Amino acid sequence: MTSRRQRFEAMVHALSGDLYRYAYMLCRDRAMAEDLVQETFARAWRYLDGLRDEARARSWLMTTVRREFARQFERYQPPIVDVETDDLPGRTGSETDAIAVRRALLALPVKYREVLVLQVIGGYSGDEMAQMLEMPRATVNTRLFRARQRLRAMLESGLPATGDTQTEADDGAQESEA
Amino acid sequence: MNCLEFRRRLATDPGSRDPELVAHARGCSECAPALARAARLEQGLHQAVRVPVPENLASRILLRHSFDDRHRARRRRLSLALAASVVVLVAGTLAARFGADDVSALETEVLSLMRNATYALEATGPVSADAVAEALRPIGLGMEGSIGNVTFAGRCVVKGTLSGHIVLRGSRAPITVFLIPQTLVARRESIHPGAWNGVVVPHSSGTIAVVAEPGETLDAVAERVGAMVRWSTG
Repeated sequence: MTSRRQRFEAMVHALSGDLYRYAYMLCRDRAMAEDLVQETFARAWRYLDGLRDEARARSWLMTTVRREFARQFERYQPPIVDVETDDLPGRTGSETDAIAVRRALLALPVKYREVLVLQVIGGYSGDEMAQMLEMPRATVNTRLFRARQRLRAMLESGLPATGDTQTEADDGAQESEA
Repeated sequence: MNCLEFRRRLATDPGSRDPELVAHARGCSECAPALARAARLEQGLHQAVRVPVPENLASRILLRHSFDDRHRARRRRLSLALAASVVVLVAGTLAARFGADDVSALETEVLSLMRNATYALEATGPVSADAVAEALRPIGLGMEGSIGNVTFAGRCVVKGTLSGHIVLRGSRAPITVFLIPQTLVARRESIHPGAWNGVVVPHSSGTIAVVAEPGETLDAVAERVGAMVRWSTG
């Protein structure tokens, strides 16, 4: 029979990579991302008995990363530094090359970035994300729509420069209409 | 499907293989290039999020966890030694130990558990009486008979102690029961963790906490559980 510790280790090995990527995409800081993942697994150990189903455990961990990010972000906001792109293939001249996309993605307001990243990294459906993010499905769809719209606009203009502070204000109340 | 709907779907779920979506792209000369552009963007996105994970991340997480675990174990041993040396004093003050401040701390802890352990509220069961007993046995808790309509039975940590965690089907919403050994509230008290209502009731050598959305009869559940639970730790 698998012990509690063995289950925990298996979960860390299986899911820490995706959690780290999600955390990094939220906070844009490597040290903070690792800290978020560490905190998330510390909480997971506490609630491990309820995390028997892998898919549910993954959603729970992703949600915990997000909550922990929101909590820590209130106290510390890492400075926006130049986006690391050494791991990506060089420019191909295409508007969708990975370097430009990562820069643009990280320049999106966090509320747009998180749905896009959850969809791409986690493969979650709109309904699943609505449940995880505790918001209506229509809002998730609107954010996905606007995220890609903004991403495309930034890539076409070649100006993925500013982040959260400038763009949060103009989103506002019409979110669920799209 | 019209072009507007197609573009909207493409922006929200570009990976969809919905036959309607594919059929529209095949039949519409304006939307076909949009589909190709979306595919290129998705390819770029998938590459962009593949951020390199720090080497040995999993090992570092496990290492820190094991240090935390050892630290907790050391603290437990130290606590036991201290407890042994003052056992008479502890026994004498046990009943008075959990006053109003401690109920408030318990309320905060229960709120955190309710928020974090959503999987327990979402479980649909049914969980048999044997499975409930199995979940509680490692904590030294026994359950004589069936408390009925259990949808989740497991364990969680309350105030640093491994505790029983049971969810029952209520009349409208789930009712959560925490069986907390070694924490003894002074008397029955109401708690209000977030949007939930609850009661904490002293029982033998532990506390029974019952939490649910407003409208459920919590005292009856606490009484029913209290009549069945056996604390071998007491």
